[in-house]
Amino acid sequence: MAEYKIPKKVKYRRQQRGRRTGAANRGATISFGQYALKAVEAAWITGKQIEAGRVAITRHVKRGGKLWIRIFPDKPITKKPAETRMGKGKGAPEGWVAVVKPGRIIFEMEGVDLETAQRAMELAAAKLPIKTKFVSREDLDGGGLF
Amino acid sequence: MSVENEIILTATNRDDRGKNAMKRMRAAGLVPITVYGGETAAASSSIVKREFAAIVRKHGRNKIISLNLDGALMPVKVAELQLDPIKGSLLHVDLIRISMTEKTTFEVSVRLTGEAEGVKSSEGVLDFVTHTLTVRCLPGDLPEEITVDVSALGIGTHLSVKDLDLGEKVEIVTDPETVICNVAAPRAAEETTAEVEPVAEPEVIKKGKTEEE
Repeated sequence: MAEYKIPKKVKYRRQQRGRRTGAANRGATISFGQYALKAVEAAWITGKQIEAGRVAITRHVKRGGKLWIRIFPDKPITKKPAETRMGKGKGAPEGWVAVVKPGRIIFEMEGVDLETAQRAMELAAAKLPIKTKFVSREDLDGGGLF
Repeated sequence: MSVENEIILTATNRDDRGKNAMKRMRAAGLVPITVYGGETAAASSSIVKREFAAIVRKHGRNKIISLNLDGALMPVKVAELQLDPIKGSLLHVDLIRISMTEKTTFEVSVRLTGEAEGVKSSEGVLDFVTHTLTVRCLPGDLPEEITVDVSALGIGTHLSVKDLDLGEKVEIVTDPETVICNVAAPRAAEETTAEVEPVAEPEVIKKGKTEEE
C-alpha cells in the first residue's frame, strides 16, 4: 500500500519510460505562495521523496504557513523480479514518479518568514534526488535575477 | 506624452530573426523586444538589458515607459516578460503601445501591509489568495501597486475586492466578490501523516462496453 498520494484511476497500468529533454515550460513560475523550491535538473521524483519533502517542511514550520505541492506522481514505474530472465513481458508496477524537468516548481510556501522558508526548503531539498534552488515571488519582478 | 518623471527607454530596430541571431544579441547585453498595439503594425527591436532591468527594479512592471524607437517617442507598457525557466534571465519583452487619453485595462499587483490581528494574537495563517487585480483607468492614473492594509483582519475574516477603494479615477474590473486575502485558524502543530489517504492500487479504466450494456 502506497504511503503517498497516487492516481485514483488510470487508463493503462504500465507506461513507457519517455525522455526528459529540455526545460519545463509549464509549472515553472510561482503561482500560489511567496517562496518556492525550483528544480534545476531533470529527474523522476518518486512519491516517497515528495512525501518526505512535505514532512520535512511541515516539521520545520511547526505551526502556521501554507504549503503547495506542485508536482504529482502520476507515472507508474515497473520492475522485473530479481533473477528473472529477460522477456516474458514488462514487469509489475512498483511505484509512482513525477517527471520533473529543469525549471519546474516543486514546493511553494506562504505565511512564514524568509529564514524559515529558506531552511524548510533546504530540508526538503535534501530529500530530493536533484539540485534545486530557492526562489521567491520578488524574483519574478526582476528583484535580482535579471 | 507629458508625464512628470518620464522614463525613457531607447530601442533599436532589428532585422535579425531566429534563435542564433537572438543568442548573439543576448550575449551582447541586448534583449529582443516586440512592440505592438494601437493602429501601427508590430515592430521588432532590441533594448539594452541593464537599462530595462533598472527600470523594472525601480518602478515594477506596471510603469508607463516612453519608448524611443528610431527617434519617435511612444508611451508603452510591459505586456509580457519571458524569463528563462532555470536561470531567470530575461529572454524577451513584449511592449504594448497605449493611448494616454483612452481608458485601458491593466493588471496591477497587490501588496499587503501590516500584520493581521488574527496572526499576531491567535497565530492564524494569512492566506494571500489574489496577487493581481485588473483595473481600468487612464494610463496617467495607473497605480504602481495596490496597497491593502490587513492589520484589522481576525481569524475567519477576509478582505474582498469590494472592500477596496481606489478612488474615482480607477475602476476595478475584477469580480467584487473575489477574495484578496483571509486569515485561517492555525493548523495543528504536527500534521505529518494527516494528508495522505493511501489507495492500494488505482482503478484501470476499462475500454469498450461494460457488462451492463
